[in-house]
Order: sequence, then structure tokens, then C-alpha cells
Amino acid sequence: MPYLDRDTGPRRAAETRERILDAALECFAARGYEGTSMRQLAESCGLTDAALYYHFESKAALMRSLLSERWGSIAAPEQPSAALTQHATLHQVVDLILDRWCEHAAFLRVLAREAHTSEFARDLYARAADDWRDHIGRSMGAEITAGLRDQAALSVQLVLIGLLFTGLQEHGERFADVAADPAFRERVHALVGTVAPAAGLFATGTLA
Amino acid sequence: MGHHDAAGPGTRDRILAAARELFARDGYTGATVRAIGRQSGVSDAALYHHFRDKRALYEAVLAERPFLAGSGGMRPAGEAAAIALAIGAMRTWAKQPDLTAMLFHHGLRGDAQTVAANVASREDLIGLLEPCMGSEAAGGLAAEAISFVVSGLVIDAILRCGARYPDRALSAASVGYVGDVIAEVMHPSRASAPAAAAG
Repeated sequence: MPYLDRDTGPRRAAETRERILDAALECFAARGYEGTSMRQLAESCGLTDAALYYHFESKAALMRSLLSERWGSIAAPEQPSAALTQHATLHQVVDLILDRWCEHAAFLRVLAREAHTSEFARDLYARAADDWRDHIGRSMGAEITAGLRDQAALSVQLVLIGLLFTGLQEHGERFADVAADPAFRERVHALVGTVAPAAGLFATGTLA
Repeated sequence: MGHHDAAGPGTRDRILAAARELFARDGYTGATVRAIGRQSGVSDAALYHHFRDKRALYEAVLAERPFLAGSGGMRPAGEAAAIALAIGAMRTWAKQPDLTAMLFHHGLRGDAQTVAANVASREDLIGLLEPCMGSEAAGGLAAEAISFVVSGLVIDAILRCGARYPDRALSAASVGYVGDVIAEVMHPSRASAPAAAAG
């Protein structure tokens, strides 16, 4: 942390900051950005207004920090385990992405809602989406031609994005429960196999 | 009859057109009944004669189902028809990009009727695609998969570009891609064969 709070120590300040971000995510997800005031946020963290403003100069700055610092939570894992890199099938990577989404459904909803008005949120979304596609593409073996792999990766990515955001509309935060259901996963695998049949055929795992 | 008859059908249409425009521009929360009245050139009294409140106006806009793909009266079959339907649906939504983006975001807030309208629009597309798919057994799954590609493409473009989304979703590359993916879904062996030979 660039600042040091001498009374409470840097660790304590960092903890408070995280606590504020957690509370903000919860409030923004439940009531939206417009429907949440800095005063409500301070109250829900048990802080004074002054203490809250010490960490974040405005609600806009808070939203910006929340989006940029928690963005990594929805990106695909940067360093999957060696076993996964070598032998992951398309279905395993799809499941890994879905697991992330289940865990961070509230964040995804805040990010998507914010994208309506904020270019910053739109850029973050674009980075996450590109990231998902890269990971999907890498799960396919070298045997598939590059052109076919790019098309298959895009198709899988779009099917997942379609499922995610229609799911978030229909189920709200309960999307996490719906998407964790084995029957849902099976349906996703079937849809993915339908739009990218070649990807299934040439997935590294099936050839290993 | 006539233009100035506050109770006539022309008045209702004018109010609805203004409502569609203002809900799309300002969102459900931002749009006001007064502004819609002003935009349509109708007095408050005349407006309230047709619509009880803002919610009734919004529901009337949804009931117009401007988001439905529509088959245009054709009896489609085969790959070319499926591609025409998918691109046609995307073009229909893109005619009112602000409204499409607004329906997506208002649905994300959990508004039940907006969600139902969005679901209806995707199910409508699935119903139109299904008879084009050839094989009856796999037709339902294939039509559903294509509908998710299409809605994923539109949603992805909305999240990246906002109301300017048609520039991306209906770019030449995008339209070409939708054709390719439908061909791949309907005839997987065709596209996979060269890769298999190369491997």
C-alpha cells in the first residue's frame, strides 16, 4: 500500500480497504450503483464517513477500484496447473470458467450493469472476455487448424456469454446455484460440442 | 376520427412511439410520463386516458414485441434459410439499438417482464431455426446452440460498445462468422475434414 496509517498500521488499513470493497460489491449488486450512497456504505462497514473517504475519495473512485481490483477474479486462471495445461479438455476449461462465474456472479452483474454507462467497465469486460476466449482456444490441440480453432474458440466463448447473461437475467444471483448443477453443466457441454464439433474432436485430452 | 381525437388509435400509436424512444434513451427509471407526453405532443389528460401510469406504458412497449425476429412469411428450410433467419434477427434488434441495450440492462436488474420479453425473443428464434436444421433428433439442440451464439454475439457487442453495438455485431466479419458457424453446426464433417487430413 502506498500510504501508511501510523495508528493502525498498513495491514489494518489494507484490511479495512478490502472490507469496504466487499461491502460495496454487495450493495452495488443488491441496489445498483445509483441506489447506493456513500453514507450507507460507511454504515454497512461500521465506519465513519471520514474514514470511508480516507480510503476512497468518491463513490466513482470506489467503483473504479472495485472493478479494476476484482477484475482478476473473473479472468481465467493465469497459471493453470501443469497437468491442466497439458491435458485439459475443452470441457474442463469450460467448467473452470463456469466455476469462476459461479463464485463471482455478483461481480459479473455489477460489471455488466456498469458497462451501460461506463467505458472503463466496458474495457474491463472486453479484457475478461478476450481472456476467456484465449483459454478456450488453448484447450484445443495443435492438430486443429488455426482458422478452425479461432472459430471454435469464438463459438464456445459466445455460447458461454449467452448462457451467462441470460442466466443472470433469469436467476439473478441464484445463477451460481443453477450453473453449479451437474445437469446444467451437461447441457452446456452438449451446446459447446454442437457449436464447435471440431474442437471436441481435436481436444488435447482426447488425443493424449 | 382524425388526428386530434385524443381517444383515437393514432394518438395511442404516437404515445407508444414516444415511449419507445424515451425508454430506450433514458431507461425505465429515467423516462418520465410527462416527457413522453411532451414528445408525443399529447396532453397529460389524453395520455392518461390511454395509459394508467408509466408501468402501463412500458408494458405496452414490451407487448409490441419489437424484439421478435419474425419469419417474414417464408417457410424456411436448410442452411441458407437458417443463416438468413439468424442475421435477420440480429438486424431486427439492431434497428433499435438503444432499445435492445436498454432491454438487456433492465433485464439484468431483474425486471420480470423485461426478462420474459428477452426470453421470448430467444425462444422465438429457436422456434424459427428448428425446422431448418434437417435432422429432427439433433435439431432442437442445434437451434438452441445457434440461438446462444447469436445472443452471445449481441450481448458481447452491447457490453463492449453500448448502443453503438451494431457496428460490431453486424460487421462483415461478424456476419461472415455467423454463416460459418451455422454451416459448421449443420455439417460438422465438412469443416473438420481438412484439419483431420492435416493431422
